Amino acid sequence: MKRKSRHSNFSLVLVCLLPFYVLFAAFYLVPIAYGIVMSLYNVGIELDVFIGVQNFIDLASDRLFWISFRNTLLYVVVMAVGGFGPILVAGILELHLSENDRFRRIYYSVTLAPWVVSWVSLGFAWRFLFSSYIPAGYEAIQNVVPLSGEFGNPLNSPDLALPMVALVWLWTWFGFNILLLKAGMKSVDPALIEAARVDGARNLRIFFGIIIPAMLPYVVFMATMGFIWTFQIFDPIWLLTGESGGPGGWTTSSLTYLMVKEAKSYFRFGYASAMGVVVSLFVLAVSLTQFRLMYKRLV
Amino acid sequence: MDEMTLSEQKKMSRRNYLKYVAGGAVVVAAAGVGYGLYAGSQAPTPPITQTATVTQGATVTGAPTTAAGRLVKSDWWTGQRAFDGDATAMLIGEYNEIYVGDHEVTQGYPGVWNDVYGKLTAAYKAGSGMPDGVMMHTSEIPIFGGNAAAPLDDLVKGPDGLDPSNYVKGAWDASFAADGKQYCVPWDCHCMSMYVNIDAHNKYNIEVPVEIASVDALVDYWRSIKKASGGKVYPTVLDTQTVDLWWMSIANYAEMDDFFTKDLTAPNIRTDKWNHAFEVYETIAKEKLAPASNSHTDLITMFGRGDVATNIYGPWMMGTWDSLPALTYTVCQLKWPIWGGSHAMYLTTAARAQKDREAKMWRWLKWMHRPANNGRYGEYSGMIPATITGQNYLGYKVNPQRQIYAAQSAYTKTTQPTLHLWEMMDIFNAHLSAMSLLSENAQQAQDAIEQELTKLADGN
Amino acid sequence: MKRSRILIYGVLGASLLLWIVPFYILGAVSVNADMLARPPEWFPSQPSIVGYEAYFYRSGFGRWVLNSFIYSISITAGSVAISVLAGYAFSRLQFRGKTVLFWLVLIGMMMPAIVYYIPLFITMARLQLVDTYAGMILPLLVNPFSVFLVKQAFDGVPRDFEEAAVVDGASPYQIMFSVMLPLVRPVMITVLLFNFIWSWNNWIWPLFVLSNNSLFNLPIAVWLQSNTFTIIFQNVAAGGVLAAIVPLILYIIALDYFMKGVVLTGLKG
Repeated sequence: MKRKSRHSNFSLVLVCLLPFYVLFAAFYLVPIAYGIVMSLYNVGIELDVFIGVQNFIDLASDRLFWISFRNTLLYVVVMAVGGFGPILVAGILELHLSENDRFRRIYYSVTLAPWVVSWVSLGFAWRFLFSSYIPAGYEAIQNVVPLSGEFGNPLNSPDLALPMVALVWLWTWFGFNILLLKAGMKSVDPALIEAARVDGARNLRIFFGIIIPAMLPYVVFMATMGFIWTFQIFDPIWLLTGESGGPGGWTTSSLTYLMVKEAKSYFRFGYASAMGVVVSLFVLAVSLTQFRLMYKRLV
Repeated sequence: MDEMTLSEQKKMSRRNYLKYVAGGAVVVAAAGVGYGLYAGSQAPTPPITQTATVTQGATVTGAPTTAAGRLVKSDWWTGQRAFDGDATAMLIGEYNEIYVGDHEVTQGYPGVWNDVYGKLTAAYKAGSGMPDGVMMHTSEIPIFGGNAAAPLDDLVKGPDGLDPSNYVKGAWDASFAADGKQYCVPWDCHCMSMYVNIDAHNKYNIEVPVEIASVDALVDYWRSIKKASGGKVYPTVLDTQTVDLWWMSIANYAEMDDFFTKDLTAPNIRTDKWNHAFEVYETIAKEKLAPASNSHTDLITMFGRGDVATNIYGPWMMGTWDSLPALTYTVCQLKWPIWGGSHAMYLTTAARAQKDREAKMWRWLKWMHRPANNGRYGEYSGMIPATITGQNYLGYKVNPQRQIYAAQSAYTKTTQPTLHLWEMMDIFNAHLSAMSLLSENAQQAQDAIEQELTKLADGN
Repeated sequence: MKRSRILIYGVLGASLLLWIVPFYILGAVSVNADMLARPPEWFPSQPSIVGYEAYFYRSGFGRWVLNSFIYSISITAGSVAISVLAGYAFSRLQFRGKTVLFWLVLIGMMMPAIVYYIPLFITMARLQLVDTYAGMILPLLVNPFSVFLVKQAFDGVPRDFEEAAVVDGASPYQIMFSVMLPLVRPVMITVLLFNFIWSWNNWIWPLFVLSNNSLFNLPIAVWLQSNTFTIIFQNVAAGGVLAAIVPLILYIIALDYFMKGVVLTGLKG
């Protein structure tokens, strides 16, 4: 039964799309719309008072909002800069050690492990490390190398807390990223590499000349998803620095963290929704641009 | 050719189905194991046993109610998840056995305290999903009194009521709203007091104090610890990263009535006593009487190890200190009006909407407040029972650390309720944390806090 | 060449410790390695399983494990089923509004989850689904990322197979289930695994929607037991280990699928 029309069988399309979109509408679109509506209200336990864009105006002058925005961008920057680590390691693994399958497999599988485990478990493990074992390690090093100062839990230092949380985040995503990049490198036609080697090109030249351009779409994908997920960073902040948002006053707080605090601790559901609207718009703007650049034709 | 391709496809898909079935079997088996664990898991032996017969007249094992009726299932929410939450859970288990077939109370854990409030708010707004009762604090009255929380005056003053003289006065008085209605019944008192690590003191021949008369005396005592230990031991540790009111214990002798105001005007933190309190915070930071900044985990590890000699905290920490075998500790009384709150039991408007539900929840509440039950709660968790008879319960009375704490409760000045308590805590903690790190001095911190508290009050 | 090689192996091998140590510490503390000692212990001097017993003998542990399976299996099955259908439609069918609908999927992928959890929670309260299995499961069936992955997978299948099937007279449903699905079997297994892991590990949505102890899954139960003013370290660590066991076992068994799965997420559409 060949169909000559442009569109497929309507009932088939319906069957395929309806389940997803009904649920999507009910549990995604409706809440988002409700959230947008709530952002225009002062939501109290009894009364919701319509205040228009007052919440957004208040956001602009909210010190905590800007601190959290800055922190969130810092997390993104760390993730971006840290992204070179996976690129380098993937490059070394695939190029230099390309014949040692066993080592590479071990490396990939061990580094991917944090990604499959719940943040709850990771949070506990790192809390123990930061509060006891890392300071003890520093003390041990001090016995050998005369380093200055007393080293306590880095999460208690207002200067180190955010970098530490960011590093834990990087650590969790490292395995995921090097696998992505490995795929990118594998996508290069081996004949091309062979030809280059025959021509006398050394590894470094091959890396920069052939492999990096081939990896580019994967790097861009890593950057896009990395941005989206890092912008939403919440779990390690909540689990490592708890309900305080960081030592010295909001030093680790991200935008989603502040949102949850506003909603749950400060009873400002409307205000938190307004924050949600701003965060969503920002993320959408940046990532849609990235997507556009990456996938010229999406469908 | 094409036909072969298709039948090959069909073969492949059949093989896949087999694999899916195998996978499904593994999954079902795993689920079965899980269920087996569930079915086979024994009910825990409650450590909360009766240690003494009650001499107050009421027996613990009450006769089942003669009120005929269907089984009522009640949800009870609490934010207590440590020894205190376990204690109430076990008491509830006992109650359910006594009133089996008549009333079944289930303790639910919405999360941390803010999750409790958030879920209660959402349930109230949605018009459904409210529990029958909630454990909160007396400070939640301005938020929920009159909407989710139902007034209890008629029950308290009724024929099967409660005796106000049997309750710690400060706690009882705090359970009334501005409109004069009573919205909750206090369950415990949790004032602050000071824990002392005995080993850390003995190591440097420092005398273990029994009581301290004033904040200045406290600072001097801390200085003496630092001197005697040559700086090796921190005199105290402050918790600026957990949302709590430890700092109120130092400022607490300030005029409390002006601080938390019911009509949400900005509190005055420029009185002489408040100024002095900020000077004390600054002294602690400058003279390094406490580590600069620490999480709650660090507080526990440092005090447990003896790196820190004292800490001011609530009675709920006793469970943790008791559980550290290497730690020997005692409690030292701080003899000035000390911050204290109370966990309190609320009944919701949902519960009071139905006659039999209301009757059974009130019966349950009264049962919980019997001396042996309120007392065993304190014995197990370290909290101070709000009932005098509960404090006199033998199991609670024989524990020396519990007793010192109970004596401390006489100095409790309960906070006035305010809608923004948590946010105020965050404001104070952020700047006191900055002070402890020496990035702000007393003047700057006071200015900033005053500014933010004003903004908070104005926003309403 | 030899020396630099050894150096590289050395450095990379040492870097692996960074991933092993946190898991090791979690396990060590869970069997009573004393964190409070000076220096903290790497091997417990008095090993004990008190931390684990605290979980096994709590009424509820078996229930939490069972719930975790219930949630993970039903969410995985449901969400993958609807994602397969939707992904197939986007990949192979033509219809009006395709672009718009797909953009909705993309937007769904980019939207920070916490942003809509709060209003979603209030919506669930209105629907009287708070503290129910349905309330926990239904919203999580919507997984735009799965749709995206499935579409990518189907896009990678050459059209020849379909055309051959059409020539043979197969109905569209037969094409989908008998021809296309088996061809993307590796991707499907990956999608199933990922969804299982994500729903097993999810602790934030349960935090919003569940209060009843008998409905908790393992991660949220572990977190609630552990995140109090009272911290007993071996209990906390034991909870962390228990919450991680099933995902790690699954990971070890299906290692290749996980690794390939990560790769598949990056395939160019």
